[in-house]
Amino acid sequence: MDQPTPRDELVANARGMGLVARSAPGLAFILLAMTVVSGAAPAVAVAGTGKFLATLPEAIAAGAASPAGREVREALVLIAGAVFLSQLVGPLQQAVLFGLQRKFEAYLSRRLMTATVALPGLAYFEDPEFRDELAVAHWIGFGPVHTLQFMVQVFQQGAQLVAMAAVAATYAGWVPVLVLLSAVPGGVASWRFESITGLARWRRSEDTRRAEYYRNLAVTREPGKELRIFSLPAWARARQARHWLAGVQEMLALRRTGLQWVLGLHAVAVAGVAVAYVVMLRSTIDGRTAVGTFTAASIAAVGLSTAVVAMLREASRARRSSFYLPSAMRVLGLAEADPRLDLSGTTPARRAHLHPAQGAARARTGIRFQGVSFTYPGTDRRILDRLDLDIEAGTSVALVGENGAGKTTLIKLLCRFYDPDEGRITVDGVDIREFDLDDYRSRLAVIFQDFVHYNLPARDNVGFGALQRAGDASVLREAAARVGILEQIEALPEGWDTTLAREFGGVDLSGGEWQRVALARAMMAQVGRDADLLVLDEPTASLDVRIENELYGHFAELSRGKTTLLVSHRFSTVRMAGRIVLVAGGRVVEDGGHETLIAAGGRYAELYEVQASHYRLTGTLE
Amino acid sequence: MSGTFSRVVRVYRVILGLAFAAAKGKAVALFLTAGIFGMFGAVTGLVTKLVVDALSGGDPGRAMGIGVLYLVLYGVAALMDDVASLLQSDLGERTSQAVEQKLMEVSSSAAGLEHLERPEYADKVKLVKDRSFIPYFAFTNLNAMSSVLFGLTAAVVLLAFVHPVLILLPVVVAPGVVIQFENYRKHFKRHDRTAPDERLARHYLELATEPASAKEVRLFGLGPHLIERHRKLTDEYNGMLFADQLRRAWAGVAAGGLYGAGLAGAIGFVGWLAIDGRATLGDVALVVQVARMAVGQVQGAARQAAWLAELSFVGERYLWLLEYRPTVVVKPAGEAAPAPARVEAGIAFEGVSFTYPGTEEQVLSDVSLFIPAHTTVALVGENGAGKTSLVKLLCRFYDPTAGRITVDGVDLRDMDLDGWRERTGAAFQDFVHFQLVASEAVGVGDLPAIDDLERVGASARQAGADRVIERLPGGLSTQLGRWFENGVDLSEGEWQRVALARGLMRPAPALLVLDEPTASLDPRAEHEVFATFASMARTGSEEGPITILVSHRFSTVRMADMIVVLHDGRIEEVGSHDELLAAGGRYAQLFRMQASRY
Repeated sequence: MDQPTPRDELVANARGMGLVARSAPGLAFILLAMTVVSGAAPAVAVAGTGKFLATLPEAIAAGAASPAGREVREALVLIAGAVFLSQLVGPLQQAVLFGLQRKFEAYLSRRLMTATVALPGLAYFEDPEFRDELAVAHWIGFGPVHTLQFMVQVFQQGAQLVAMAAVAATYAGWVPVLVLLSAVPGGVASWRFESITGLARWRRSEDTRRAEYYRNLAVTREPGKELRIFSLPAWARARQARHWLAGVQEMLALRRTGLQWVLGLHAVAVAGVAVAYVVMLRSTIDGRTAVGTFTAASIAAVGLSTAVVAMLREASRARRSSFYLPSAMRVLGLAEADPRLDLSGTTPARRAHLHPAQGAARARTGIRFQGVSFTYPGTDRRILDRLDLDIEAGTSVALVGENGAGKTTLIKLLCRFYDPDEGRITVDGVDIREFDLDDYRSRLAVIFQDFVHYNLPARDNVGFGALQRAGDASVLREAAARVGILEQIEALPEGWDTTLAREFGGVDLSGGEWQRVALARAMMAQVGRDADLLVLDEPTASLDVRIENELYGHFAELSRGKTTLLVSHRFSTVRMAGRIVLVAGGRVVEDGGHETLIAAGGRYAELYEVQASHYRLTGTLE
Repeated sequence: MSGTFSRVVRVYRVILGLAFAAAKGKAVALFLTAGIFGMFGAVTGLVTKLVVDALSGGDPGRAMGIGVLYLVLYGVAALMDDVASLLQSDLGERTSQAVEQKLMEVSSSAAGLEHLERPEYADKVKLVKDRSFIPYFAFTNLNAMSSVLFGLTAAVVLLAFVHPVLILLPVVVAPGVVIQFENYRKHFKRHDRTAPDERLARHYLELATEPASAKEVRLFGLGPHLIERHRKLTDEYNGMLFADQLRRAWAGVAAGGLYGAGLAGAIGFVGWLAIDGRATLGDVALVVQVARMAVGQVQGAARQAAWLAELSFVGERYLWLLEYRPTVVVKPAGEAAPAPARVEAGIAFEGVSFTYPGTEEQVLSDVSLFIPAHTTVALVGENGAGKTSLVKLLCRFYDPTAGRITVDGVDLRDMDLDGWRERTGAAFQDFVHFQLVASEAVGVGDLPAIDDLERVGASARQAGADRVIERLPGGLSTQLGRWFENGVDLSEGEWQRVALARGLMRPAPALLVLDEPTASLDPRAEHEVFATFASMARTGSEEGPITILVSHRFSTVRMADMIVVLHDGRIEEVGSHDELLAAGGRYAQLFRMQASRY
């Protein structure tokens, strides 16, 4: 991420405030109104105290019944009233600020979700810069609220500053001017100091994240076994220490040098106050100024100087979080600015043409890859190279090939997570880029190799395959039954409502159980929304023999009438499909039935032999 | 309650110990300055009084003298404040870091895995990890308390000098302190109750925005649904928290009323005394300044005290971890038997039973088994049969509940554990996706050789990871994974080969553990890997390690010299492939089931 310019920060902060206001307009307004009251009250208290101190000697001299005595009583009432008011408003204001903060955080999360899910493809997720910005946006939540909080404070302190300046000015107008002017250099130094050290840390945030990574290696469960077996604890600690130091070193050094400047310039502020104080004291000793005036003005002058420096220091701290704001704001606007998947092919008119009324007959001709080439954005290895493949409607095809041959990529293109660089993919004769994306995807039932473990109830884990039918228990049951997981789900402590994650108060499933839950989800898409294209990427990798065998028995039924694409390393699974396609070097190199390919004695036959030989028995079973 | 208190004191002792260890001089300086600062407000009040009294009493020389002294003090205090705030951040960072290091040390020095795997323990460890900023707060809290204590004491003393009745000021506002303290405490408590929902909201956010779930979210059109759930959930708990906060704000208002009354009362009282001639003008100036400060400090004390409630909660768990005595007790190197360079006779399980701590179910029951040196053993069985538990005992992540495991007759519990692990190589099903550069992701398998690119390369070749590495833009120096800058993510199969290469890094292992190492590999790679292991085990059968293989795949299993079939935590069959097939038991049945499809 580039270092933001002050202008970027300003713009991002302004947008951030706009978001705060939009997240909870009512609360934001109430907060502002309260700020006016709670800001004015302490200022009134300061003014009242000034008045009280200045008039008291006269009241002592003239007695309580004199006009001065009355003024003293009035000042006292003013102080009491102001203190009461600010004490009363204070807690309510805190509560409102709290509410606003929470609401805003949730609102920002939703905006982030909206912006991300609006990205139709996956290209952004390959982009490291996007990933960084997204990560930053996740925890930026409080930034704008801090800014708001700070502005509330500035207003309150500002009002007090004015009151103190006014009281100090009762001696002479130059007193507050001198005090303020002399405090400015120290304040500016603090501001510079904070932003320089803050930036130093920001630049090394990668090191800080690495330190955290090594910390987690040592204290979390997942790496526990390898950490111990390979005797890594001391190494992890040393690495953590190294990156921690790299993360803060520059900042610590800058702080030290910066401090000299801050001290020097702050001394100017102290000198300013000292001059004003001595002059006032001299004039009081000489009898040119009343003792009361001196008391009030000198307290105000010292208070003014302290408050100005403190306020500027606060301001610079508030800036810490705003370095990150521009990137967070950028993420929010990405989908509209540059979706990286060209959706312009689908005009509303065409969509209507392609999708007549629901249920209307379509000519089903299957899936066709025509000269498809593809390279992942930001890389230069061509994964698919003018690949041609026809899958007739209603038939099953198994894709085989070595790791990295492009099988999963082919599936990603079919799901339209990316568009091909060259060539086209058609379904029922229509380029998939011309379909409405959501409609098109609703025709697909897919289990991915790296399927998601939703830390949610079993009901959601299966139901997410077809949200619109997820409330229908019979559909859920049927999907689960098709992959043989129904009994296990219903035997869970809370049945379908059991959360599938121990850390969320539920239970943990084994790898094989998870895989069947994910399969049930794909089945849900099939049962619940009539998806007619079935894609199974490594559906049996974690299943044990018995379960794989059961699934094998179900396969014909699962894929009946569906156009099915199956990817697997297990040839026992591959043989479920009627036709086998071997992909190598980004192209289809062999294509045919199992027997044909074996007879041809090519690459498939060789790979098959490698695996099958392990199962061949010496005469006992053939 | 007093128990809790003494625990809190102990938490502070530990944190202070770390702060002092991090930078002794700075820590002392900081606590002193915090105390001095606390009193500075009182000093200002006193000086103002003295100056004003001197002026009223017509002693100009004295007034100027005290005035100048005050200015000097003011200047010193103002500049010291700058230094102190720097010291505080500096020391805070160092203390936090010291705490992190301590946490790493305590957690990772436990030889076993119980504290990470047992849910009720894991929750504690996780809490300490997630709130590692808390010790820093403990530190600033202590600092603030020191400031409040000194300041308040000084204020009360000064007020008492003006008039004894003024001592009542802190007493009058005391109910307010209690109200506020309770407020803060309940606030923290309420937060603990909404924590599970907040985690769930976080999960929705992650599902919608992270790459891992991006495919399914798009395919199943889950986006709007997840957003809606997030909205409902957050509205619900935020609404509750806000209502709660508002309700409690009224108690705060009442407390504020008391503060206001106390303050106005004190100022009015001393004003009345002055007019009555019983107090000087200076006394009034003093009370005006000191009373406000005192009330402010009382409020601050309430806030800080409430932090104690939160701190004691986290601190409890932190202390628990510090005092955690693992069930796997390691003998000190001096008393332990040295680990053998290679296994001469074999490894024996003698009547081994095992139940995970905190559970009821026995996962291994009376397992007896002898594994001769240099053999390859395959563990077979359905999910939950006890294969992985047996492996965990062998790696000594846990100790058996009954019986013992011996290596050449020496109980594993009496053996130098570091030495034994140095002779163990392993690859697990749930291997780590190390976000390191490629050479290190392999090299950590044998730390002394982490920079030895030749050995790293050799292990990579053996595991078939060399082809993965060749394809990387920067070869062995490519950052792996997508967590860090310029990282390249691998496919699951590629990650697995890296993990295997790591498991092969030990130069001459006595034991090699492969727990489902090939689930994501293609047939050719799988075959190569097996061939490698088979040859490792056999080349000069004098040298080869004992290899333990866990797998569902019979193609792998049949290559082993010895196959052990586990069922419900017991050994059901032991023998070679041919023997077991001939026996026609469970093994034969499962094998035929898989073979029939080829």
